[in-house]
Amino acid sequence: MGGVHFWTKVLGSAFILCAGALGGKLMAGKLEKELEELSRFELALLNLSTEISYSLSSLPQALLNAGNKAGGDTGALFSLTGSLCGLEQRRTVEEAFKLALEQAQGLDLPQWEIEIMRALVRNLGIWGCKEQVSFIEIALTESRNYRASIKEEYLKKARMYRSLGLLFALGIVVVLL
Amino acid sequence: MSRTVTSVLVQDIMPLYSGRIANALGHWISCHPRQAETVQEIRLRTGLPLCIGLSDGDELLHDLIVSRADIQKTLSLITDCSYYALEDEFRGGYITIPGGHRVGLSGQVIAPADGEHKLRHVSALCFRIAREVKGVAENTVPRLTLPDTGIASTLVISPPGCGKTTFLRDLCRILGNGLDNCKLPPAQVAIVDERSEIAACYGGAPQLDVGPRADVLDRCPKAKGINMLLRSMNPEVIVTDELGGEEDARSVALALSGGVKVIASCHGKDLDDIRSKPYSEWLVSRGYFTKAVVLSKRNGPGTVEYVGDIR
Repeated sequence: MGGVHFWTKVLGSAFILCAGALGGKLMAGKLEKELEELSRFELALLNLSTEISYSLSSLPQALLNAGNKAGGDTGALFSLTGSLCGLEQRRTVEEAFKLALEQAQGLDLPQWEIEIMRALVRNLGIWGCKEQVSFIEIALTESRNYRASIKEEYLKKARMYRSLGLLFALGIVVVLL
Repeated sequence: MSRTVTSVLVQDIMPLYSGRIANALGHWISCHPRQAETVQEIRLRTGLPLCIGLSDGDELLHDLIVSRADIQKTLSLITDCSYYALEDEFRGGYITIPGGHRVGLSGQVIAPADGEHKLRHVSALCFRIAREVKGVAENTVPRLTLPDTGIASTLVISPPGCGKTTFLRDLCRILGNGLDNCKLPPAQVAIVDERSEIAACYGGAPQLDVGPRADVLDRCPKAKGINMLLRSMNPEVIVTDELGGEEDARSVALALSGGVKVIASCHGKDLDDIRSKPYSEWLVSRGYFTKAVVLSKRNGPGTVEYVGDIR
């Protein structure tokens, strides 16, 4: 009987430790994903700038291509906006972006990125090539600055969440034992 | 089968306008179905009523004042949200949209001393409805053919607005299909469309029917285009609009001496008028062009005044 009781406690403790570690990892993963999405956003902006200045692709096509190359949720938002705007869809890029945000409820995007994008779409497709690239560069700089300002803090927090998850679980185990 | 003007307006033009303009225009069409068939252009001017240009005047919709936002929405759509890709076209003052319709633009021009001018702050748009009139050249073609050699090199002469371009477009279509009643076999036709008027290309593809054997060089200067086509496309007939200067004349002469037929239009009232202009006189007097068609609008645009040899 004593053996069964011991093994139940061991299994229970192991389960609590795993759950705590997983919880911490999930919390840390959310922060890391935000940083990753910001990197993807910068990559998408760079690709968009290249599509516009070198290929002179139409904006719907440029957004689609930039989104496909960037990947992730950010890439999906770019691609969706591209597929919803233009002559065929009878929508301006600003209208398409609003609709894309409504349709993309499942996408997990940093609020800051959405704000930068919202400001950018007001100036997309209505300027000459040089000006267009300048607007994209402004958005890119804003994103880079923001990412640099949060990166260290987010990575610290991520490490902390991982440790806290495990420690919290360990605490519960000690109390229960 | 040509589309009615109403269907063109509903399918091609109205979706490019903001909701309130499209609704007002739709209402006007439903109230004036006969007049709608005579619409030639629609003008949007910031702060002014919508203007519908008809074949016998125009009509202002005073209840509908066009706003800057209306213009911007339309501009965004007609450029496919890609102004940057159409900067050169904007410099030319017009763009072509699907369906072959042409949108004229005006607004503020920025002309730096050391660079090319740019059109910014567009405040007015003029939609000119493209029309195809098929069959206008059909009765004329048999009189432009020569035994054994087929179609002759021909000058189409008329003052502005008499249907030269429509005539040329129909000629391209007929030559590409061939014409049974004068035993004219189908020919490879190449079009140098400097002003995008003959084929009305959008994204490089003709929007109007120029026949199944037509290659189009869109927005290409005539002289350069003729030389490019001669080298690359092996055409049997080259068609071009509005011959003008020395360079055009020399390119045409080069094509004709290479065995390619050239059909070109030229501003003028009649053959005598053409002979008074140095470069067209040079082409005619040396026998480069052997046939001529003279058009007027005596009985409406496209009235054929003369078809035959250049004597």
